[in-house]
Amino acid sequence: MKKNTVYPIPRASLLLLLATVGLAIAPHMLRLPLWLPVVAVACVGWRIQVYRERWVFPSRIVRFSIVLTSMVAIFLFYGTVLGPDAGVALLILAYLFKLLEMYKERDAFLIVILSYFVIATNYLFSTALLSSLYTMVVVLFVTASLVGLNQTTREVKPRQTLFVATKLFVQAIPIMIVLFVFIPRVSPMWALNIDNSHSKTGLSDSVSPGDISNLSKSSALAFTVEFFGDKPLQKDLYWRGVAYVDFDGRTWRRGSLEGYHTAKQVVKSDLVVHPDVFEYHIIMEPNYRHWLFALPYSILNESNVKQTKSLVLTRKEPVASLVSYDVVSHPRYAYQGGGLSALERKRNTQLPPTDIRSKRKAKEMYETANGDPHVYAESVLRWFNTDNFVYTLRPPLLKVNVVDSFLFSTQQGFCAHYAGAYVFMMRAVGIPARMIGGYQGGEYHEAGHLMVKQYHAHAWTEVWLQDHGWIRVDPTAAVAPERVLSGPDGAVTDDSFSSDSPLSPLLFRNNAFIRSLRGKVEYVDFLWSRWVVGYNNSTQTQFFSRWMNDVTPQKIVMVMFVLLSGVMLVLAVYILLERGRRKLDPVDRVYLRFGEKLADKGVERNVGEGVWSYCERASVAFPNSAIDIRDITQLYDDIRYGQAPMENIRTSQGVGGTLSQRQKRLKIQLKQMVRRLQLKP
Amino acid sequence: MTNPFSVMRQHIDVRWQRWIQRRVPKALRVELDQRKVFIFPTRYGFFFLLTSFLLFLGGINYENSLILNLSFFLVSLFLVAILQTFKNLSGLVLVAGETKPAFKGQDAWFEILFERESTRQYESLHVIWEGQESGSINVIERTKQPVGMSLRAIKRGRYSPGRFKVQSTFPLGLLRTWSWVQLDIAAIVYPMPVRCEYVGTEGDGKKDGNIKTPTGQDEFEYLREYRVGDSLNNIAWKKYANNRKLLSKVFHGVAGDTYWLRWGGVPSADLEMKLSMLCYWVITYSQENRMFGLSLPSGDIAPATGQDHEVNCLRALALYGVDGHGGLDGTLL
Repeated sequence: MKKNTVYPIPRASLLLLLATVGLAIAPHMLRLPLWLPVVAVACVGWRIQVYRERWVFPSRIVRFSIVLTSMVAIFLFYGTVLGPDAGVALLILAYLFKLLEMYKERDAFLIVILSYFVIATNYLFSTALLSSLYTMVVVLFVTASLVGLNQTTREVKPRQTLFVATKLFVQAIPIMIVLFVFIPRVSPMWALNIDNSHSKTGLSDSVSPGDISNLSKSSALAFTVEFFGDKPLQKDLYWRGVAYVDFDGRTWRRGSLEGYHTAKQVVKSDLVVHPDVFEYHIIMEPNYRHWLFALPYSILNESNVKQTKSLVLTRKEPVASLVSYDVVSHPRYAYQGGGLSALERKRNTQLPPTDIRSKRKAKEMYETANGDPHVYAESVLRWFNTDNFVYTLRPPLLKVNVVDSFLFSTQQGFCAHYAGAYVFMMRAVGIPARMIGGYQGGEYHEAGHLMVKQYHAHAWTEVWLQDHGWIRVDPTAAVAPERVLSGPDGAVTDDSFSSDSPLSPLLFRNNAFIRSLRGKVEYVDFLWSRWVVGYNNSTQTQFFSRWMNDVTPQKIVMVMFVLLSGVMLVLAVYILLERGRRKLDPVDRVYLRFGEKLADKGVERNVGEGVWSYCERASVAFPNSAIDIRDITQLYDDIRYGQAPMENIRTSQGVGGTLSQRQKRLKIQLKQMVRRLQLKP
Repeated sequence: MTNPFSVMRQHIDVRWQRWIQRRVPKALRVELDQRKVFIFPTRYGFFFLLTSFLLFLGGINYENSLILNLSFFLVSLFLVAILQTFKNLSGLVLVAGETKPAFKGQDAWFEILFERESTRQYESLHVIWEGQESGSINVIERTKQPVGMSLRAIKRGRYSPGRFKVQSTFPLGLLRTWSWVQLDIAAIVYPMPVRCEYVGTEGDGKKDGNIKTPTGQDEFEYLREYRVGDSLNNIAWKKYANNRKLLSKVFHGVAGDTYWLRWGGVPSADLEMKLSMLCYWVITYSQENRMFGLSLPSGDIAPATGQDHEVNCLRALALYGVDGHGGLDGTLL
């Protein structure tokens, strides 16, 4: 290893390496500070200038100060040098600066390795099908760079290197698939969060109905459900998420100080379940929040999931990537029917001192119902139904006394308004109640799975009644029952929904072609999420239980090794047996075919017999074809030894050498003559 | 007292030599089949596997299937690289090619022919032989690729260098595949010429009864193409001016001016020194284009002139006592 000299990286390799760097950091660009692309272009440009021997690499001091400056810049941009975003930015900077420090082969190799890490970090932010396919292209380029570093032919073109890499890449894919399917998935050894800096989507920790004047609902996927066996009715699809318990007069908040059950052990005396079950698998899109959605009452066998006292399923780590889980739900259950603890009763009946008019109205209605909670709950729903309440996604803003304003003046709102007001009315007479946030409904895909989208987000209530426990009541259904039966688009009569976003999927829902196209795309996405991105321990077990009775990691690993050796054997045969295909010179091959043709008719060429004596013998045997036989022999002789010698006959002994244009023409002529040859005795 | 470690090393070395000799015997033509080709990861290979492991840990801890998949891809690529790297050497045929002689202390030249017998191509091979490393060898377009190696000749006689290593890390540099090959190849090493006074000329006349004349450049005989080493005085400059071709005038000594270089004519008692001195005179006489003969205890070479004669004489000096007869040189190469 020579020191202080620049490693003379092959041209094709450098081009591929620079292309790789560009491709690898491209998907990160939108997440990075704006000045980073400038740095990238500068580094790549500098490296090219070094290759052209115009510039030299920056000195150690310059390099050091560049690194220091960019560290400071990262810190100023993100406020930290830790955390996923700043971390990725630093990784990419190191990656770029390494380009300006390529003194040895080792440095080039390090860039290749860093490329893999840059690609891997991209998966932390996006696991969509298209972006994953893109990263595979980048991986192909990385492989090509590695090939380029080991290729020493001077005049090699990047295209050829890429071709070699593609061969390797394609051969590696079957092994990769076997490993992916069979390597047992272990649970994380330590939890890593890539949380905080991400905009959370979907339901939030709190909801303030009065502050929302325009609820824009997105058609993004929230989660996908695959039912095994029976499917619940559409009107029963209440995907429970958060329980909003605390109300301050304006905002409903998640009960933050709740106690936990572990997933399996809810106090038995509190819970009575009917043996009916729905079993299903949910794949949740990342929303960077902790809770999981399920139909009540649900059992989840996940070690990192807990259940709160209000039966909310919370996950230890936020859902930062696609998360899938299996659920068993008991649709008929009674929870805490025996009674509430004093603390819980207090929290679920707590109200702010505002909204006097509503409280008064509640008392009046309660008296009318003779203090019977059942009758009262029913009568409030009837009031919502019969009075001039309107379901709209564009309600007027509510300034003070939110509940009063909604119930007595505007009477326009969406689910959260109705749910909030209903809980308020219940609590006003001392009936424990809470607002539940989640999703209602979903759309069945042709393929059979249910897609729950962001516009299925919904809020409803749970009311506690002695001996019955918590009962689900959906006040919105009283106002706009279509909302519950067919989704939000069914409930909205004015055009306020689709005018918001011109690309809303609801816009084209009547066009059959677009609908079927969208359906196919969604299906591919679903398969990708279900079987690739969401492939985890339980999916694996589920997948293998189709073929195996009792799935254990040992069995899986055994099958894996069998398959792996099978694939390797096939590859080895394919790769190593290439030597068996000894190649004849194309001209000789044609001549041998001529010989075979004659041999079929009984005139075989003797070992070591010259072509001309063979020709003579054949001419005697087939006098009517004598001219053809002579011509063929003459042409062969010409190409082989005569006026048209192989250009490289001396260097390659005529075996496998390349033919000139003229020789190719003659060869084709010879081939045609042999093919047309009719042997007539 | 002998160092136990050096004894052990010697022992291992001997056993290794015996083992490799059995596995890859010396031959004129060696086909690198499965038995003869070895393979092991390079340090890049180990680093690559470590990267894969780190990605695996990342994938597990972030519960990210795609990162896991990338880690599996790296392992798969490594496995494919084993086959592909192995393929880049196995099946190759190495054939002993030509050699060029050298004077002792200079570089002898050896040629190895890399041959492929199928369509399979071999890229970026290297030969390491006696501490010398060749450039990279590609057997891609042609079926035969000659590779020349210059090796320092340190001993007079037949120089047959030891095993050479032919290796490759193509295509990914993650694994190295190699083989130790010994080809039946040897170059003639002439003695190192040592300048000296020739003292034994007096006796020359007696043998043939000829009278010596100081020069053999009396009569012009013919023109031949210029060869390196020809005297500039003998170049036919007029011809050169006419047709741009360097031609040397060849003179023939007058009949009778024949010289003999004799064993006893050089002032040394040492065998090697004697040969070196005779070597010097063979070269000198050839340059002067004299007609001379060489008389050695093992036999005489009749007087003649020209390059072929010079080579004959030098060969005789080089192989003196080497090829069994004479037995003066202890080792038989």
